[in-house]
Amino acid sequence: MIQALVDWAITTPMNGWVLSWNWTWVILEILHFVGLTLLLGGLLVIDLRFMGFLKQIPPMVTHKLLAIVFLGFTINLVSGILFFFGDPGRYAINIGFQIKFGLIILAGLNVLWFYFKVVRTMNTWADVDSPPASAKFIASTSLVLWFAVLICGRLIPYVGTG
Amino acid sequence: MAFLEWLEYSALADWVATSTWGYPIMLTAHSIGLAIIVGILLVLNLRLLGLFSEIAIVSLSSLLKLAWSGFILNLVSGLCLFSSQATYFATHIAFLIKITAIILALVNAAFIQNLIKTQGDYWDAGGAVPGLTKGLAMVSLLLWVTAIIAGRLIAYID
Repeated sequence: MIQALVDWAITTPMNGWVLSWNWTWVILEILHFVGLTLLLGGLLVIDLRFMGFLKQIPPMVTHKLLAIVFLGFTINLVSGILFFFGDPGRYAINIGFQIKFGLIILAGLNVLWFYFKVVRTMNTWADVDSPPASAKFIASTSLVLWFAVLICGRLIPYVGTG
Repeated sequence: MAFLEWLEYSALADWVATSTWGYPIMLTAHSIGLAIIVGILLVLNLRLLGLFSEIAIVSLSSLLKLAWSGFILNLVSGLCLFSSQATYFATHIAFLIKITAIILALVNAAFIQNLIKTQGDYWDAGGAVPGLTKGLAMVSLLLWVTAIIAGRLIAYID
């Protein structure tokens, strides 16, 4: 099934476009790094707040930063898809990429969990400045997952068949 | 030059350059530090430029300690990476641009940090952030992005 995906991906216009210019890959890498700083920079503030730090910031105010979190994620989703289509055979079988992909799915599920478990019940917090244990857990899981995504991505050239 | 060669032949540099995991570990640490320092400074600089105005500038400045620890991580991992090919990097144009950008960005950040210390409360109370400060924030963004771009290009340019 993976081979079918790879065989198809290689025939797509995206594959041709990525490979058509020597500098496309480097530019995509630069965008990918900028995207990750937007994503993690925003999440550091939001998640640290919901872990109980930065008490001077009202928790829901940190959500204004979701704009750059989503911007960073979108930049990396697009550049990431282009990476994959540019060299599908390499990524499809790379354990670092596979784990990274799984962690991103988990991070997405964690976001849903955060919304339903934490944000929707914030009015029940005993103290508006002190998040309950569940909020702290979900927020710290968010940071752990996204830094794990970063680590796996960085290791892609060095694990499996590189 | 002799010092750079001595560095390159050190046990640490040798380990980073020749072991299976030395270089990847240092690169990974370098990415983590990058995400922390540039991520936090990005939020702070965007705030100074007027975005997310509901977030108090002074409250964001408490993140600067974490940002500096991200920088220390990159200083250490960077030295390890540098040492593994010291003579090569020392004359590599992309590396030199990167280091220049970082030094300038650090000086800039120190200025901004000081301005926040003296003016932060006034800004959070409704005072306007002066054009000079916004200029410094813009320059900071440009310098860190330059560092990222130059860093990435090290592997692609001779």
